[in-house]
Amino acid sequence: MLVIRAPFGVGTHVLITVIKYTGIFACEEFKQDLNKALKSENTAKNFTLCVLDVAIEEKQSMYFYSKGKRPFFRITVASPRLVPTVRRILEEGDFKFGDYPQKQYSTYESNIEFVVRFMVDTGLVGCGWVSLKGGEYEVRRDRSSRCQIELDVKYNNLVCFAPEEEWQAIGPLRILSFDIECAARKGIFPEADKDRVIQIANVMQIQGQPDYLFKVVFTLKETASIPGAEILCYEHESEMLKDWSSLIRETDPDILTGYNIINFDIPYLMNRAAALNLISFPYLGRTHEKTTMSNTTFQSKAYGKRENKSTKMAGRVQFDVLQILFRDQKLRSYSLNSVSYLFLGQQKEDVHHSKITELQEGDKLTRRRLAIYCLRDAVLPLRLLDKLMCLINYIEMARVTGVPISYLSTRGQQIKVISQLLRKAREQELLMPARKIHGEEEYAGATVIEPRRAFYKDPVSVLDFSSLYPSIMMAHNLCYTSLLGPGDRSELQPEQYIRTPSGNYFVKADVRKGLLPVILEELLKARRKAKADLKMEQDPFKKKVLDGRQLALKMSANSVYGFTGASIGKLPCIEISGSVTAYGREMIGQVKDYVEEKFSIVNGYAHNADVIYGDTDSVMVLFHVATVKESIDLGKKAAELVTANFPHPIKLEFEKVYFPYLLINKKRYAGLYYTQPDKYDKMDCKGIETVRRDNCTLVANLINTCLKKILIERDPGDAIEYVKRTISDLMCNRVDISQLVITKELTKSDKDYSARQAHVVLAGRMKERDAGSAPSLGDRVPYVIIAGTKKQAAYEKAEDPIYVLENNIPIDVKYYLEQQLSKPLLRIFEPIMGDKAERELFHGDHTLSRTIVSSKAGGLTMFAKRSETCIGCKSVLKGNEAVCSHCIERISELYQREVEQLRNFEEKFSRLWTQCQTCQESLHEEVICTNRDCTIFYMRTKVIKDLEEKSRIIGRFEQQVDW
Amino acid sequence: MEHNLLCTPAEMVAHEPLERTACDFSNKNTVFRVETRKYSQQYAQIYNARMKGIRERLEQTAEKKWGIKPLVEIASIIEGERCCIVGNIFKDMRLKPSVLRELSEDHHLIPLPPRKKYTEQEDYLILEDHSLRLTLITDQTDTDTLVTGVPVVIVGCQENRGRFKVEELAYASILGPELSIPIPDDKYLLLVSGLNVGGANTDMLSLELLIDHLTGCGGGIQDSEIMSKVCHVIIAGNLIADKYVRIGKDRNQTVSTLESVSTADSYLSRMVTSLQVTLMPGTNEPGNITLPQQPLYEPMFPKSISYSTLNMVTNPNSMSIDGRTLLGTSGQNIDNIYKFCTTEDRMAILESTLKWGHMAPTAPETLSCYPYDHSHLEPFIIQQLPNIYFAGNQPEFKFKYYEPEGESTLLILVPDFSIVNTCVLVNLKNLECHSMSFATQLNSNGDDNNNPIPMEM
Repeated sequence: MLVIRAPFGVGTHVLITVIKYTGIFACEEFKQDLNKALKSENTAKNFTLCVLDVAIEEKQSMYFYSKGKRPFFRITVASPRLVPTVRRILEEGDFKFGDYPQKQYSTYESNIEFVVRFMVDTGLVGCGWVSLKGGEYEVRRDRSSRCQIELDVKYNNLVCFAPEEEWQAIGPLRILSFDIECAARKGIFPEADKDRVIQIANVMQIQGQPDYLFKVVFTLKETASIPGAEILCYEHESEMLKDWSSLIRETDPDILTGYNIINFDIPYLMNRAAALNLISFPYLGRTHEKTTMSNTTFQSKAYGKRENKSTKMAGRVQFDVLQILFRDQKLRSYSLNSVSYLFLGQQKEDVHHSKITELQEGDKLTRRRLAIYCLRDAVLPLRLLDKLMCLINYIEMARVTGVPISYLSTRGQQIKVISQLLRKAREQELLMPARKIHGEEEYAGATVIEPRRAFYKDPVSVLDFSSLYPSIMMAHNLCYTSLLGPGDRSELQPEQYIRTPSGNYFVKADVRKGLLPVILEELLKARRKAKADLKMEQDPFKKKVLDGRQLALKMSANSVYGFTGASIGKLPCIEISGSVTAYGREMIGQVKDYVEEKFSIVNGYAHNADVIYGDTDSVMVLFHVATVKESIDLGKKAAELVTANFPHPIKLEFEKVYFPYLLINKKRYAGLYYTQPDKYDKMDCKGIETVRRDNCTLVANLINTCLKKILIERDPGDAIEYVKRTISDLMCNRVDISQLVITKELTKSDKDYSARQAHVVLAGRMKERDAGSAPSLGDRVPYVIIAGTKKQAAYEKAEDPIYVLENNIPIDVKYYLEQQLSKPLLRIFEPIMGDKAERELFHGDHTLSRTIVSSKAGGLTMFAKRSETCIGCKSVLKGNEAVCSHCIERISELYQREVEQLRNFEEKFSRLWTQCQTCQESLHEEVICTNRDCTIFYMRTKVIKDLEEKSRIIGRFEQQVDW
Repeated sequence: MEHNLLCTPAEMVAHEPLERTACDFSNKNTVFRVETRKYSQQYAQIYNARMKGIRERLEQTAEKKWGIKPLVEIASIIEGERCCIVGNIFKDMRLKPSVLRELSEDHHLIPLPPRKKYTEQEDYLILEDHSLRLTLITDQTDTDTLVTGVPVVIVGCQENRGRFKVEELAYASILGPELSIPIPDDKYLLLVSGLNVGGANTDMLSLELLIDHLTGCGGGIQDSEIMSKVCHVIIAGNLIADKYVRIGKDRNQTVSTLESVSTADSYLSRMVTSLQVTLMPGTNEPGNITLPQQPLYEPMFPKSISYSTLNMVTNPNSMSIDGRTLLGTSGQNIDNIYKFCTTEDRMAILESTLKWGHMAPTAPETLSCYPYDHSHLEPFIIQQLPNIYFAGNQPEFKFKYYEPEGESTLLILVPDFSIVNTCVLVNLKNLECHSMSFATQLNSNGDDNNNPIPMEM
């Protein structure tokens, strides 16, 4: 049985039960014996008849080129759950039937998961449309789900439409975004078995409609109202959770969204309901099936290893905005604050979880404040979805690759290729072998032409193979179906096949056209169309959709190569992936030789062209011309000439000119990017700006500014001056502390770490100071490195930035210079300044002046008595006056100097604190935001300190009027 | 025989020395003094204090105007029911400068030039009190003229989706000016701002002419007679020149403040020898910048301060001269509101601040001010109309009589002297108001061919 849901206009949901479907292929006669063999297996216990049918079908394996078809057995079993068992029995080699000898069988397509199998067989694509003909289905009386209509249909009567023309429409999907707040105990991150859920905010939107359908907040205890939203107050948490569960069932959303709902909100609610013994709660899906939770681990080359919670909710897609962003965007921080600032231009107030309990325990007004906060967190994911066009892009991707939409955020690239491969294979009656995974097989990767590191002040043309790997596969017909096995060559004429540079053999397209080339052609054709549409489109939003689509198609095309090379994949084929990279390496070399030979003085050019760098699919050519225009023209000419030497569809294109160009190392360079002669498009940096969080923002800002000065203003001297100034600022304690903050997540408690780590040790120390606001497990710990004693270990020198500000603790300048700034700066400046870079930048005159800050905490400070010194000459004064009797003549001047600073602080104070009011969207409420990601978070604390100190000094002047 | 500059010495008739008219001056600036400055409190307290200080009068307006008592708080509105609410306006503006944007985005880009105005069509109004925010549906004119921080009372009805349809909007009732004691003879108050002494481009000639006139050394006998009746001078900010001059994208310091302060001291000392002068700080003076600006530091004016005729006061300041009440600023409040509303008419803005019952509603939102806490009554609230209400450093001279009922208030835009070489004379007897210009051919655009010292009396 399979449940498909398809929207039949607004509000009507149809459940279709497809009967008599399941499949695996193998041998006919052994139906009985196989049944017997299965009987002894645990998985088959509940079935009276396991193997329903075995038939012979004429098919072909997709692996290796072969002529003509062979008979295969198609085994139909009673349940998809039996498939792995059948596969195991057959492949182990113990199985024997009839008179035939015992042998190991190879199975085909038995390792394909059922959903994909079914969708491929019926031609259904993710987010696609189906139709049922009258008379071919039956309406169910006793419904098994919460859908309004339920229909039974045989699987071969299901009509699925390709997502074209009218079937491109997107149904009016109901999207529910929600966010929960929990009452945490002091200093502890909320735990579901102990801490109450106090609020749940819900916002529903119909896809494509600008207004929200409703906003409703469930709250514990009486809460004052919010205009435009409904507040439902509860005395008991159980009642609230029960009602929320029915809200899900009643409003019946197609898509559940929110920020981190998959790993936090949903599991928390589920666990909380379990802790409260709410039996009726975990029924959140569309069927009457109980909602269950499990842990999943997802590993992929592209996304790394990730542990997720997974909650099965039949009929509802969980579309977690955080997960989408993890996949699609590389960001410095993924907190909702910084994400909404980045994409919506809106800083979000951030309330620390210890403060949340405080608000809940106040009165109905403080609870309303919390509700407003909670509601905003439910609205933001919807706005992000809208802004980033996630949903539309994902629907497009699901349709192109044919997989269910939920796979796109929970699975890797492979499943998409498998789905497409199987669809194509089916058309050609090919079968995909279920191969056992072999060990890691290594093959040579892409090539890199050794960079000639320098700062190039002449234009550098970049020539680029468009879709290099896909076009190699297409040009040389590289595919499983065209691969020649060791003995296969003898049956063919030499002109019917090719030998790849890696020594593998493939038949040419006229003998048999490969599946992979066909898939790639379709993807690239669709991409060309999307790109053409993109050019025509005026509407900026639709432009983004189309851009998203063409990127998705490009990614899909590139992942085909990756699929053949994935050694732990479903169908790795080193012959293909190895050949592809071998061709790529060869071609880059050919381009270099050709360009350098052709564009030379011998051939009538003013200079000999030099290829200064090349990587994978691009080469950078220095034609030694003065203008961008000449460089573009020569680049285009070179691309054309080279392309003519390669088989279709391989195409070398002129991509851009870098002018000037700073080549630091492999995959590390920066330049001004020109596609037209007169104006640059942007500043392009590769491998330089660091998004790593264990770097402080000072590094990124400094590097960025330097690159701008070097490339845009073309003033490396000014860049050097700027670096010196910043280093001098750092030494004189003039750098804003937020720029020095380093952040790490507290993932384990102290004892779980084998080596002591700075942020963990600090978290422990903060807990001793104030358990309430100290970071707990899962929080990010921001810290700065402070100057300690020589013997102190590095991990002991981390300190809370706020504590540093309040106690005037000096930072460890040496650490920041040597550990943070030195390497990235030298990388940039060495190509420009050569060997003297280090000496000049880090040991020049500018490093001689230093401000020593005297700490107010620790050490001997508590025993020291502080006496005022003269503002003019620093001599110790008896009283509280501002200046000594010698400096009294200069009192006006000294006052003016101090008051000038006071003015700056005053201005800063009012701008920063009014900004916080703007972000929290209230003038009358105190700012309680503790968003440490925010640029001004530390500044606003610092400015209070500065202002109070300066006011005190001004006060001393005012006392000294008897001048 | 006319006695003026064109007559020959022989024609000059010797006359009795003129006596400087005296006046009774009292400075009421205590409300604007901040003695101990603390910064741990937040700006929210100002808005709450503003509501507390003005709510009662807003309620009076509502009852008088519509016969309805306003709800206790915005949160108690019932959807669909006509009601009356009180709160402070918040104007949502996309173009409003944001320190966050400036700092965290590409903070190395060339900063955008400051705009003349930050308004745009999409701006909309929100009403806020201690409990909630409410988006308002109002006439465009309200959106155009109102700014953040104005306390209002509104009658209307909340529609669905949480927006409030405004039927009518009103401000706090305000007491008329006190009936003042009649002054029998002409007696002048001279208002001047933006002298910009000691700047790089300062036109010293017109400054000299001004002081000669005031001290009776310039002009004819009649001029001197009039000048002798000037009993008080108020310098409403920017006595001292701005040390910065904007050159391209950078602000470059051209003159040392120290020098200009000392030049200004000399200049001022000549004035205080024969006149009572009240000096209000402006944006250029070395002193604190947030409102209320505190009196300038006396040791900066060693020459002038020894005269008891010099009064160092706050900005804004409120004072009384011979029973006439005065309230005024050095103009920052008007300049700031100007940027955040669409109107070009600065007199209308000055008048609005009286109607609103609040001198500087945009503080602290866009105009920096001291973070008053609960224990203070917000000093910018206007409880009672003064006789004279002025704002300094404005591009041109304008005056107007504002008379909601009974006694009228004289509103004055005191021009920036360094731009138009004009100061303002007010006759305290009848509140007549004139300008007095000292355009010189040296710095005028050359179209000024008539009398080099036009006195428009």
